[in-house]
Amino acid sequence: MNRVLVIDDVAGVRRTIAAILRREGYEVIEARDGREGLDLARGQAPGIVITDLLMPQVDGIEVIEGLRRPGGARPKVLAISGGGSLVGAEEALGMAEGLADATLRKPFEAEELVGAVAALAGRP
Amino acid sequence: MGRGAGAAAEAGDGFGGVLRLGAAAGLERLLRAAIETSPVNVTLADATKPGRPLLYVNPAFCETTGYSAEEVLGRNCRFLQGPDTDPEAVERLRGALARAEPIRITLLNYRRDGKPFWNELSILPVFGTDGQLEAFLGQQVDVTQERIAAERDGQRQRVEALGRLAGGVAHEINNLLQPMLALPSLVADALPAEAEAEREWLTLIQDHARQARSIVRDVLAFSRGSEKPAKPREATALVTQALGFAQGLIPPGVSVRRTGALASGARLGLVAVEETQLRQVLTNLLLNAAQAMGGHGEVEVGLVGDGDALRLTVADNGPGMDEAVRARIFEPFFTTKPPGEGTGLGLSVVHGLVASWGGSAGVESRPGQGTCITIHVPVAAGGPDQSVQGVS
Ligand SMILES: Cc1cc2nc3c(=O)[nH]c(=O)nc-3n(C[C@H](O)[C@H](O)[C@H](O)COP(=O)(O)O)c2cc1C
Ligand SMILES: Nc1ncnc2c1ncn2[C@@H]1O[C@H](COP(=O)(O)OP(=O)(O)OP(=O)(O)O)[C@@H](O)[C@H]1O
Ligand SMILES: [Mg+2]
Repeated sequence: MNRVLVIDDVAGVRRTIAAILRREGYEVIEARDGREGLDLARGQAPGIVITDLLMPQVDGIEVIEGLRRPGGARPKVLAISGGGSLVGAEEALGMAEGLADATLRKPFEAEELVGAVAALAGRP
Repeated sequence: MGRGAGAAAEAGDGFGGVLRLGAAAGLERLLRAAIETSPVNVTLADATKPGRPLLYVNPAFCETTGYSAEEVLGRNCRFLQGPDTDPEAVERLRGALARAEPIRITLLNYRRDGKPFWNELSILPVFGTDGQLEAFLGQQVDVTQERIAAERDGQRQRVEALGRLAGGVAHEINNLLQPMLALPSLVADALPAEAEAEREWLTLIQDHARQARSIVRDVLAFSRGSEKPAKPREATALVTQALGFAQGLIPPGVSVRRTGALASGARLGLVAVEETQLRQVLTNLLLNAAQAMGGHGEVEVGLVGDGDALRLTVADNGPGMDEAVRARIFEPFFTTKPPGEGTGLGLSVVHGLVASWGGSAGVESRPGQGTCITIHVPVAAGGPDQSVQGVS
């Protein structure tokens, strides 16, 4: 549960999340897009995956579906989104409901992220 | 028009051609019958007399304009124009008539009872066999319904385009804000205890990032409206709850007086409104009222039934506003407050959210007379809850 994979196409978001979680003692690996994320998830077996929902090519929903495929390690998933030009954040997060274990609207504060990840990791 | 018999169109499609008189006298009665029964307004004006007086108007003209033939014959047709008729259109008409050229133009006209309508007007010059300009033939069609439909379509498209644009911008900005919003607290923790000023600067960065986030959300709210339809809830309880929340955010010197169902507890029916959105609406309205009254006074919030809708009012006895301000308050970024105090989004958010509920927002205000914002929300399917009406 200590290894967290962060998938977001925006480097600044990825690095922010990584910085916050490393300080909390998590081991963080980063992926720039959905495909790289799925590859890393397979090879590195993270306990938690944080994925953006609106990304070019392989989007977050496809990532979650890929992670949920039978035989996979079934990590906990936190879906994040700030919305896009065609779908709003609530709508995007709504689509992930039921698929992801938790959702968080971008941009969030450090405490919100730490709280959400701790809950998934089963930390007190 | 000496030889007014049997006019025949020279050019094939009627419009843009020139009428010449003199042929086929036997057709006169039939043509007259055709014109008298035509659904298109037909008018003839004498081009040889100053002021181009009307020689003839058909029954369709009388029907659409509300004038009788006796009232208008001998007058120039400009009596149909009024305060909001585009002077440029009239200018173009005048030019075409002076040059004896055909013209087609759509302009705002007024019926006898003062009701405006959009008139698609075509005018052809009519020449005699000797080449002399004799008359003008006018044909008018009331295109008000088409204009309204086109306007509505255009508006919808603009709103959709704005929503897409705002969504795209919001997406980018939200990502850019992420480090500014989340990292200052990490940096603050790493600072030595005595770095008080630096800690304050970090708070400033984070505060501004929060404000930027809230502006982005507001812009999205009014440009896109709500994202999913809410499930209907009992209105009085819903408004009471949301009002309780909003009241917590206004200065302590401002009190809220509840009237109508908010005082009696009467149930007025169901509304399909998301509570968080209603909170946002009431908060913006209460804040405006509180600001208008300088942080001291009483705001009256009322809820009553009004036909198929509910009427929610927020009234203050602040300074009110003049017509110029009143006309613009729902515009995004319109504010009379100093920079830093208002972004001018409050009421455009209210307008956008209320519209997404299928309702409408209006304002009544005069300088020195206070301000009352009125919101109509349609009662959702299920209708007013008769069985418990009036229970308090
Ligand atoms: C046959 C004929 C029909 C006309 N019908 C209309 C009409 O339906 N509505 C209108 O606003 N103007 C109509 N006009 C134009 C006005 O009579 C007038 O020519 C126009 O306002 C420009 O002149 P003015 O600037 O002197 O008013 C018509 C003119 C003619 C000759
Ligand atoms: N209750 C009121 N009394 C007098 N003027 C008002 C009232 N409510 C709104 N206005 C006028 O309408 C303008 C626009 O209001 P709106 O709420 O949209 O923006 P704002 O209050 O200026 O800024 P923001 O709400 O974004 O902080 C105000 O600046 C003010 O001039
Ligand atoms: Mg305001």
